[in-house]
Amino acid sequence: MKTLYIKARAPSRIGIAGGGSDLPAFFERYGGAVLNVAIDLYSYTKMCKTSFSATNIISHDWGVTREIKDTELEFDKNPKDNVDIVKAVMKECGIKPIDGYEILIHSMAPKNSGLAGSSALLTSLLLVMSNVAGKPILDRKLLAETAIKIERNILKRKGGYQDQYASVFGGFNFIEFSKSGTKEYPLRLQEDLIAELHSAFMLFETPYQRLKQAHDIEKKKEEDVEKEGESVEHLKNIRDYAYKMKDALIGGDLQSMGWYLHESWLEKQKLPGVSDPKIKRLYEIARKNGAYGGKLCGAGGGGFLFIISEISNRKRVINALKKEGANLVNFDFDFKGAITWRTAY
Amino acid sequence: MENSILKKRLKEHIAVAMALQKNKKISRQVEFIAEKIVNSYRKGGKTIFFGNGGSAADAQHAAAELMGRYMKDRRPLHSISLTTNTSVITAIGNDYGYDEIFKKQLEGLLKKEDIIVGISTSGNSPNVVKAIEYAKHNGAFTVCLVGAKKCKLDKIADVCIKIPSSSTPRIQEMHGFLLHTICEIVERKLFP
Repeated sequence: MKTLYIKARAPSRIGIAGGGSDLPAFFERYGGAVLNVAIDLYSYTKMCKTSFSATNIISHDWGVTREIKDTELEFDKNPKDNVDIVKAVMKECGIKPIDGYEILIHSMAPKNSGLAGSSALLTSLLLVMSNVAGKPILDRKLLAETAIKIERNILKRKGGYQDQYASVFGGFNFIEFSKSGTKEYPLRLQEDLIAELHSAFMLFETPYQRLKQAHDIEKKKEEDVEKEGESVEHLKNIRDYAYKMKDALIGGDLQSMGWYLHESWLEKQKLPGVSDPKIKRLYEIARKNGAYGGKLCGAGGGGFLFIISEISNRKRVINALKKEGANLVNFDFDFKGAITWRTAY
Repeated sequence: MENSILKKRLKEHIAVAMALQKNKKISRQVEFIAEKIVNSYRKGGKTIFFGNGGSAADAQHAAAELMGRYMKDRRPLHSISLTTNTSVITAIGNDYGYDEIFKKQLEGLLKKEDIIVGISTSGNSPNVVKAIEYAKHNGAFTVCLVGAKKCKLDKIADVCIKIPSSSTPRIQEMHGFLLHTICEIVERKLFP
């Protein structure tokens, strides 16, 4: 007898501009805007029914296999792995561990890379489990909103709203956030422009580990925004650059994109917990070798470095960063978003 | 008496200049604008300046530096000011309204490769705002020189240089200074 597997994948993303202005504490008061693009470093979920009365969660990335039997799902207070995400989605979809399942999760984006691999994971889990529960979520916006709800209400994580949208929709997205709701504008770009952007975008894996957890940094930011601290002004500037960056992107103006990226990265470094001397040095080296601009992916403190450079300077930048131990990561843009399928073997 | 006014104004002028010297953002902006202008010339574009009153004079001045020469003997660099043709200005002003005088001219002149420089101490002059909006929607790179106050042009222009002062004459002096500096960088880059 064959076993039926339900699988799903969701893309991670590069936050191009506006990151931070999607924090609810900020956008509910001042309005936020972000620009991001989904990339083909996917998070996968594979799930099947078993004949046991417990559920096995296997995560190769964290090297954990956990058996859960509890009827009431409990969450670890200090989650060190992704098992809590699985539990949270099970709870939302009404899937009981006692019914017996095997769930395998894997993210291509390394942990702490700042590419929102865990949000992509949550999206893929939600797709799979809503199907397993017999209540598939067909509306994509609802899928993203449910993912946000789980992340904030069940997992109690701090952080922005942009990642879930990227992982659900794929492609280039410009998203505006305000108190009255979220508006997402998928950018339909011509093939030639996409090729130009792909030739200029580079992603580097830095040798530096992120010391602080992303949500600690996000928490600090949110607290500062609530106190109306200095972060508010910086986030406003970062948000305004997102609009300008969108215009430059649509016009295929790499030089201006690099400039806005650089300017908003300078603003971002003024936010608490973001700046890091080692990353700063890497970035300066990239700039000296002809890169137009760049930024650190994600909340800050460490992770992947995103660089925009004209194709003529590409090799110079790659070689210079390689000497510092930062390696180029190959990727392509993803335009499909989250998808689910079934296999039997 | 007059002497003391002179001293007072000089002091103000120096204070703004000092603030400008310390302002890293403005120095990055100036470098970037010069780079964009150089790129535009290499692609066969031109630089278009405009503004009202004293800013109109600044616009003409800057266009002259590029078209004639600044510090080097070299070929002319294509640039114009939209404030020089009184027939055009009065015709558009009369038929369409004063707010349209720059925008209408851009409709006839603008190419995607061009760099558009709007000068306005308030940052809210309707004719400048309209022209910058038009240029931006048509894919040109837009630059604005304004004062410290929050203004409409902040959000519209691709790069907006804000002089850290609220006094119109001091702002205008610095606009003239920055335009000279931009001309110099462009000239050096194109004719090393």
